[in-house]
Amino acid sequence: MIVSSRSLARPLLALGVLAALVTPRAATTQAARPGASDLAPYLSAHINWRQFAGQSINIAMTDQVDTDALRQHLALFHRLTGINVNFQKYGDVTQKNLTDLVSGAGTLDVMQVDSMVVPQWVRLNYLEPLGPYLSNSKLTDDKWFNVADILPKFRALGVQNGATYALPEYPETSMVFYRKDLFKKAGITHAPRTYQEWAADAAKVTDKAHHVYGIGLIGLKGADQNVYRWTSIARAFGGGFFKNFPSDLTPTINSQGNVAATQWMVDALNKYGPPGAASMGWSEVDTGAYQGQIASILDTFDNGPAMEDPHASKTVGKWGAGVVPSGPGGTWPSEFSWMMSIHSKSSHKGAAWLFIQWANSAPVMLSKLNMTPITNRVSLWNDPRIIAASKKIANGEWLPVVRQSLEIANPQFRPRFPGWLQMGDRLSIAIQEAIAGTASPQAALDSAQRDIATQLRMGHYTH
Amino acid sequence: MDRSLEGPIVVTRKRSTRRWRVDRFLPAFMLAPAVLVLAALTLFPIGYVIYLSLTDTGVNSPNGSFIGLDNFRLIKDDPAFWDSVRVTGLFTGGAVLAEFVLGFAIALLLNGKMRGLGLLRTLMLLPMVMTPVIVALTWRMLYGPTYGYFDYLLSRLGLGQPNWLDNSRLALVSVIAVDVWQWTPFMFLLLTAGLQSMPTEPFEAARVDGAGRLATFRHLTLPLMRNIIIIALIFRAIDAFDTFDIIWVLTNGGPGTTTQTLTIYSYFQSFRWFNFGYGAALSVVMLVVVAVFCAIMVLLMNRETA
Repeated sequence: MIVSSRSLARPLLALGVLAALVTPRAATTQAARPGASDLAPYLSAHINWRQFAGQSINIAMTDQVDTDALRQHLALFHRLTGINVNFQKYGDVTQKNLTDLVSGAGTLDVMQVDSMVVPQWVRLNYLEPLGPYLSNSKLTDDKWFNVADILPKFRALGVQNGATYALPEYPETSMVFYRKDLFKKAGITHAPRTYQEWAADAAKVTDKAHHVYGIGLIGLKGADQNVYRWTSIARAFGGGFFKNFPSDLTPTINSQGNVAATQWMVDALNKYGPPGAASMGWSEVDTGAYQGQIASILDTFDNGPAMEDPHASKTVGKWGAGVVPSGPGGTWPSEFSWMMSIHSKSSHKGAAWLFIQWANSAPVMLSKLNMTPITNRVSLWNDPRIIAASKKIANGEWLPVVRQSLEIANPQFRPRFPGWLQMGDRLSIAIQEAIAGTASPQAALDSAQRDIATQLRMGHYTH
Repeated sequence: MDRSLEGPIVVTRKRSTRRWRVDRFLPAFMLAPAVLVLAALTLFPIGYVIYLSLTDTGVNSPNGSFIGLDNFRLIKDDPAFWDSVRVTGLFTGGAVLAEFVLGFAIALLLNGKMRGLGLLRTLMLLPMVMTPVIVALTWRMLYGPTYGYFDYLLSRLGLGQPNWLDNSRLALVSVIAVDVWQWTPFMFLLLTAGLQSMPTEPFEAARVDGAGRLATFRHLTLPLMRNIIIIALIFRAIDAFDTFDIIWVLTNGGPGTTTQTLTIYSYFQSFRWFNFGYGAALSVVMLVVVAVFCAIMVLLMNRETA
């Protein structure tokens, strides 16, 4: 089964650990204190929150900790605006969105969009441009909302042809998590800085007799599974996807850099990875790490709080974190976000915008702190409450790495264009074949190159 | 004319006309709801799929344009389609053959009279009534490389870990094994019914004539069971051909495309890449294959009846 890496288990784990980690001050946020005073942060905005009172909006979001964190404040939003919110949670919200869009059902007002599909949906006029809402003083208090404070590189994920169509409500980037205790025992004092170093470290900590494996990476096929991790490695090895994206979409899937990166991945997993690596998705890799069987993983930063949850992890307090390893092609932490946007066919666009403005505002981000420290606000990453909540994650190494990764992350980490999902899935098959030993990295990528070239021709991306 | 005679005759005619109308339209009227429901649930979707297959409807063309048979031309040249046809053939053929051989063997074994046979037969049916997703999840755990029971047993015997679902040479066999586990009871059930409905006289005559077990099986059991065998094989073949849940949960069609059957490929095209037109064309191809299966069954049955 294909499962999104932003799905269920990890957020639930994160929920538990964060509840334990946050400071008393953070725990007593608005959600815990019902009453008029909890509306104060929003009433300071110079807009009429109740201008769409009585309207009802439908919202679909993915099943993750951030969704639950937002959900706990929906009553507050209703009291503030008088807008009724029909809030639905889905394991695969992209599929729910697409079914609604393609079938023309038009039941959703606010959509949570995978940043990788924004270009496609904009081209199909599925998404409402947000510019007119942002610049309308009756709808937005520019000073209060302060859109410029939303992480600029992640805001770029919602921009197409110079116009904003979606805001990055829940951003994520990747990093290396490593077992400090095992690494220290092997004489290693820091996270791996290059892929060669990482393989050498993994060799030292692997102890197959005791079921301890040095490296865990996603092998399961899927544009949002193994390709998501592979891209960091391939980019560092000087590989990529196209000759010159976005002007020339001639695929370069079997480039030297990509083959070398895939070979590194295959060797690392075969020598130091857990058995069955080719079919391990993110949840299996994470579980292996939590259970003490995998000593280092390349994962997204929301994994940090989850691995410190004593109810789910046997390795609490043993982790460190580092920026993803570098190579001749540079350092490539991932960049992805769940975006919020308005359905272009919505009949309650004003109310939908008030919801998006509210959900992406700094007060809501802070009010979610009892469940997740992850925020889309530049300023909040330096907020003492977030610093306090992050202190124990990966022995204090998590937050500095998050900040650094957010700084260097690139919006074109994976190419954002309408044909991505089909192309990424085909590439993922090649990566899985190589890991499983069905084909050599060169042969697997050669075959993927041929198929992807055909796909792109059929999709009129190339001639 | 005697009016006393004329009157009743007219009344009778009216009554018979009314009855004729009632007799003619009542069945249609009574059947109408069922037919309408059937049309809404079966005929309309089939018609819509055929219509979709003639368009380029998809995420890049939500309204869809009529493109005639272009999707079918693309299918003809699509290597992934032919690969999935090969996998579907191996899966269907392998699973049905194994289920038939095992099911028949068990049916013959349990065909006699012995104590506890009823209970044994009932237990045999348990896998069949389980939800396929639950079956697949359970087997996925059994196959698991870390905590899997099979690997544990093999490691106790000092043998290696074969990576049941991860090994491209083993994955399809592992998936077939799960289907065999779940659906052999179906074969067993049908073939047992067939064995028990056979007349006893020919077997008694064969015994009197001194025919051996193998000869009796070959010249009596098999011919007498012919019809039921055809039904069992074709029913299972249609079902195996359409299998989605077990494969999806166990391997997602992988590693690579090793276990990607037509249903899995069709799912990817329609509901992951949202090429609805192309996905619908794949479904039409599958519909034709199933229709051919059914036609063969009817043909063989009719030949037997004739």
